[in-house]
Amino acid sequence: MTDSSLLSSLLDALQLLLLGDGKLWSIILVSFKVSSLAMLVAALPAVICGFLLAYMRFPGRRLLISLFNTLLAVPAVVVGLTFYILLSRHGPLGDWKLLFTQTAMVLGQIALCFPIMVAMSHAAFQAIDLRAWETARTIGAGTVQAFMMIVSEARYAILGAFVAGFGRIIAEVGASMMLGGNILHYTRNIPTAIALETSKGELSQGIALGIVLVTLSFLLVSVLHYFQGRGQIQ
Amino acid sequence: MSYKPTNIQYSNIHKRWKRHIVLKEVDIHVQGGHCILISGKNGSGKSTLLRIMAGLVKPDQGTIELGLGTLPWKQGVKITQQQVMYLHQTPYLFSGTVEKNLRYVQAAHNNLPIEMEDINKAMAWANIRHLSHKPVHQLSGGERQRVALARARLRSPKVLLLDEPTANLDKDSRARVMELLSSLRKQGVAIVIASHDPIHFSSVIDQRLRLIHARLEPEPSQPDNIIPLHERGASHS
Amino acid sequence: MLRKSLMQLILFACFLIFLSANALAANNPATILRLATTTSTENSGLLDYLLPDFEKQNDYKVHVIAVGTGKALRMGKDGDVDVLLVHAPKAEAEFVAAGYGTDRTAIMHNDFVIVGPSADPAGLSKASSLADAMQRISKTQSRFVSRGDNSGTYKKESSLWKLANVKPQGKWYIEAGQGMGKVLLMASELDAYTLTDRGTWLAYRDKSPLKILWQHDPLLFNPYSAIAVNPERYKDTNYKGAMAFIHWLVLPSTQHKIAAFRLYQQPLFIPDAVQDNSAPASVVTSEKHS
Ligand SMILES: Nc1ncnc2c1ncn2[C@@H]1O[C@H](COP(=O)(O)OP(=O)(O)OP(=O)(O)O)[C@@H](O)[C@H]1O
Ligand SMILES: [Mg+2]
Repeated sequence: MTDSSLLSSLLDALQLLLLGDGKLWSIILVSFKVSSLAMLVAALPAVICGFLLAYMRFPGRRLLISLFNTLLAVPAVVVGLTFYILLSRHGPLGDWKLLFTQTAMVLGQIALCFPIMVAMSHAAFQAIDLRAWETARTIGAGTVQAFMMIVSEARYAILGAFVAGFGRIIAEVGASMMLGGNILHYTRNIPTAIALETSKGELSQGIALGIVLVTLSFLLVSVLHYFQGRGQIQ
Repeated sequence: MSYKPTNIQYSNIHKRWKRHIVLKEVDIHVQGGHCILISGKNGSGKSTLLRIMAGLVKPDQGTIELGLGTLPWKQGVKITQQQVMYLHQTPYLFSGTVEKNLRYVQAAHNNLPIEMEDINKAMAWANIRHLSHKPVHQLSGGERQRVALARARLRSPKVLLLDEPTANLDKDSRARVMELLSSLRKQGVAIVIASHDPIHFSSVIDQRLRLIHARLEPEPSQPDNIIPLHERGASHS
Repeated sequence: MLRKSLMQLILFACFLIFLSANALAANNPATILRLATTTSTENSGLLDYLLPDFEKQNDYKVHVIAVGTGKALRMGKDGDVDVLLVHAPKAEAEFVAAGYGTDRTAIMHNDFVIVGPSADPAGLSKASSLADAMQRISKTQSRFVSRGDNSGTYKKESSLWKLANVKPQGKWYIEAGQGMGKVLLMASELDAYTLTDRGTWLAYRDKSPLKILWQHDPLLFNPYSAIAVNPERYKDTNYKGAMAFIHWLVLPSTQHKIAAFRLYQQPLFIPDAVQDNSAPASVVTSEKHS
């Protein structure tokens, strides 16, 4: 591609974004809806898992930790394929009729962001002194309250875990493509749309979506750095 | 809660870390208004014992008696845990300001009415009022200790377990700790102090115990340097 | 402060339940028709052009899942979709014969073209037949980019090599494993030949230095059929919707609309179900509905 066509694609892209192309914004909305939903479902259980792995002693704990660390490196397409096989009508969960729905995408994305959030919140909790838990309990906090005090102690690192989890799924194409089927206005999100538009040669659409994604990642990373910077005072 | 005076008998506590036996057949009886001092060398198991009593560490063996008969450890500790407060040898303060740390006590007790006034009083008492908006990581060791003490005063537990409460404190602050201890004792709080320099606490101590070779033994009530060694066994407990 | 975060937690949970209810509600099987089709149909814009009419007239929401033909057939076999619109006659016949689908109906065709560098090192312009053209490419070891996937285009290409009695292998033969658009981009970068459907080619024509070197050959016709997924294999597939869709596709009005569809000012699909205004839809296989 020549420079001038890159430039014109870029201009077209900005125009698409600013003029509020309906298709484009529907894609962006799908991305946010699905990924936010996955985060909402996965975040709290992941933090609780990370907490249990850090604070509780039980058989198989080390194995679980290595398992989560392994899972976070599994490629998205493999996760997608696994869920595809499970959710296909032929598969064990076929009766739920979930394949090619937003719910399937949410499930896939949960599976993708859960391990990374467990691993990172586990690390976050490990950095907090055991005495924090003991102190919380000993000033009279119940289990839930004490848990929340510890979460508050580790909040910057846990925020980092959330950002990493969100970053993993918002830009992920493999699982979304397989599980959602890239259905316009329903399961077409930013990454699958980019894959599609570039394959069609509609580079400006692809670039417009790319701009959204890059802007978003930039914002997320800045937020993370801001908070991590604050957390480092101690 | 009830007006029944606190009365907890911990019996037959055993604890070992890996192969190292720290506590063996330890019995200890805590009573409201009664103050026990446990002394012992570094590593003799004082902190371990207090942490076991606070329910923070699980002993290998042990029972708890609450006047309702003897309970297995697991059940007994569930009841005592709510009445016992443990002060760490080096206190942990939650990140944030001094005031936030005291508010946490309030939050943890949202059934108990602790007011801002009480928080201010506790801060004034521990002489940390001027520090109330300071982030805790800027505090000195003694200041941290005083925040922890203010927290204990605010919490006002039935049983207070203090692990080296005066280690970082100057004379003035030490006097305040003694003041806290005697006032709590008068209010009917059961107190257990672990310290290897017991000399500071003489005014409040009712009973002196010593951890030696993993066992808890009575110790003479007079300071060590006065009693000749051969008379030790004869002293009252 | 803890009480506040507890409140937030509860709000969080409510929001979550609301959203998931929302997500699940959008997934009502009664009104959704799941159509697996090939990337070429979707990418050409034909479905965007046709489907709104169908949705208006029949009160279905069509979910288009655009994949390679092989994958689309596989989805039909697994019961993950209700209806297929695909172009791989041989595989389709096998699919129906095996009982995976019913009501296979010819809808339309477009055609493939062979594109290559304008210098035409293999001399396709001098070729006497399609088989000859393919042989010239392999003989001159001119680079050829193949889809290398399970797509209808790849199947077509394989049949052409067979026709020419050539086993495509060697440095000149590049199996991309990519979609048509990517393959065209690769071929452009590499000055290579490739087989492409006309629709994708029209979309890329302006960006590509390649040109059409072989076209309008009946051997390069690319017939599309619609197939309903066999409701006897999967009880709750939307067979009713599938049949409504197939019947609607072969309506004269729809067929005319297909013929009128233009991509880059060029007609792309030739309707097959209606030769003239009065002819009935031609049904390729016997089926139970008619
Ligand atoms: N979590 C643990 N894991 C393994 N060993 C431990 C643990 N906690 C304590 N110990 C060991 O148990 C023994 C008793 O420790 P403890 O902290 O109870 O001593 P202490 O009497 O409080 O000493 P000090 O006067 O130094 O505070 C020590 O040998 C210590 O190394
Ligand atoms: Mg100690």
